[in-house]
Amino acid sequence: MKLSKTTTEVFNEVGELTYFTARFFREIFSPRFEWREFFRQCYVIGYKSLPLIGLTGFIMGLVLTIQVRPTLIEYGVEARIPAMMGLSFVREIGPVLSALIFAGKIGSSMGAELGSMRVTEQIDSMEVSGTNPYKFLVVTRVLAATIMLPVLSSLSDVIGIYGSYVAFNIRGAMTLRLFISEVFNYLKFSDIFPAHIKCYFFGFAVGIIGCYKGYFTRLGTAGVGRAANSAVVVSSVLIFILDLLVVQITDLIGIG
Amino acid sequence: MVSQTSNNVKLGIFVLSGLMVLIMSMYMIGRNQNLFGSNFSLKARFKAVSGLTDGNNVRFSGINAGTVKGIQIINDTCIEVNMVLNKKLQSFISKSALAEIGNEGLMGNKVINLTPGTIPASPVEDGDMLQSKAEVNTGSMLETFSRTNDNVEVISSDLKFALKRLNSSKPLWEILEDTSLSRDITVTLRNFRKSSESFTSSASDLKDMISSIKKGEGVAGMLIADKKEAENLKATLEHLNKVSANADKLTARLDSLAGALQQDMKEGKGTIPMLMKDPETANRIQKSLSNIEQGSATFNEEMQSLRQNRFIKKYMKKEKEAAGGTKK
Repeated sequence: MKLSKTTTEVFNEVGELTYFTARFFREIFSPRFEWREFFRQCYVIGYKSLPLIGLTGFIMGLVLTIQVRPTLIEYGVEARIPAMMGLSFVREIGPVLSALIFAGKIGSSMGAELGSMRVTEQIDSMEVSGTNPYKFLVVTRVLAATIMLPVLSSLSDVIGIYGSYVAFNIRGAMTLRLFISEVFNYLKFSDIFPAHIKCYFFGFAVGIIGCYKGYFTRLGTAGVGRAANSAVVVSSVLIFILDLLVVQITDLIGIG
Repeated sequence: MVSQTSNNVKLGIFVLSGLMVLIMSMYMIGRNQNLFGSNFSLKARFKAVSGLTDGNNVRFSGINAGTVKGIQIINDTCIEVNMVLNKKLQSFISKSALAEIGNEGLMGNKVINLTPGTIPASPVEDGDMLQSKAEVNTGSMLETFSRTNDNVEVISSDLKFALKRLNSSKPLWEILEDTSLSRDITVTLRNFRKSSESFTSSASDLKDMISSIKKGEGVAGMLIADKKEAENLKATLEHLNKVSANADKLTARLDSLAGALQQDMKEGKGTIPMLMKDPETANRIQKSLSNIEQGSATFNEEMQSLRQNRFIKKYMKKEKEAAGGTKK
């Protein structure tokens, strides 16, 4: 059976990505963990992304509330806006929105950074000088991305719900205390846990795709741009695919 | 190196705030579901739970008191619901409290409402079974409502018809528009009141009379009350009866007498018929009567002439004086 060139390329890439991921798990448990670099990456990936993700979350909460409000008023369930926004933010909007923004900001920067290091042969020189470039560059970045995204997502939930509260009070009137207690009245552990856990997968996916695309950049400086671009595209698509998987799994076990 | 430390501090704050959010939200949810803090459990059995699930709220007199912790089916008509409630409320919930499945609003979640029992009882203990009350079924409620509605429809149509008839009735409107009617009614009522007053007074008189009769006062009372009198009356009546019987006989005799007399009259026998029928006798009687008349007239004249006599006048005078002297 003869496969087309693109199909072969796709399979090749999937295979390479699998090896790359397997290597990550092998390297992370081998000694000499680069703590300092890991914290630096956490700072860059996590802390530096907060303003962007917070802003998008706030605007999303604001806009959704304003848009959903007339319809809910029509049904006479305006008082359920806190419950609805809380639930949708915690379960879906918070994690997915954060992950997409995260992919756009971090995935592209990883692809570009590692890609330029590859094309300027810095990675090769690291190998020559005895430093494990995978350990130093990839493991720290992927791990930082995996751990930082859930934190960002939680904060995004809070900011988004606050945005919703602000939007509610443009036309209606509800105290923040009542708003928050209404939000928590309708939340369960089964809402928070799957959402929180899927954030780790999203973060890992963004980190590993970004690093993979950057690490194997070819064809010079043009390749850097392509690496950055495809890192964003692939990780974004992967986020949605993972979301689909998670929702089906949680639905199957009955904690949806 | 300084910037590295400050970066690490910022990162620490960032991560901790994220963790805080996660922990706080979990705590809030846990508090809502009574997972933390001391609590106690109660049970209630229902015929059907109509969609109640784990985690639904339990309210005691409207206060959020806990959540549903488990639902077990005992048999086809009995479902046991396990509830976890806040320990703070334990002393307020009595053993006679009733559990009822209700709705949060018209379309909201199911909720268990605990209502205080009417009978005073001691506070519940952990694991107690509460009595349950049948749920107000929306379906049956609507059914009743629709029946009521039908009735209302019938009533309203009847009412409409009646009102239409009343509206179109001319005599009624004439009565209503007659301004003198109210005055007449007032006068009538006044008269009515007067007559009722007099009726009252006569009724009281009658009452007095009756009471006096009862006491045996007066003739009627005596008659009614006195036994002896009654017997007398009876005897009298019997006597009267006899008398009337005698009178009967008497009239019969009189009758026969009259018959005989008539017979005599016809035949002209006896004294009376002769007197009545004989013209000669009648003439004689008439003569005798005229003779008597004449005689009395002459006697009158004699007496007048006697009064004119002197001697007699003197005698009369003396007699008068003697009568006056004895008087003095």
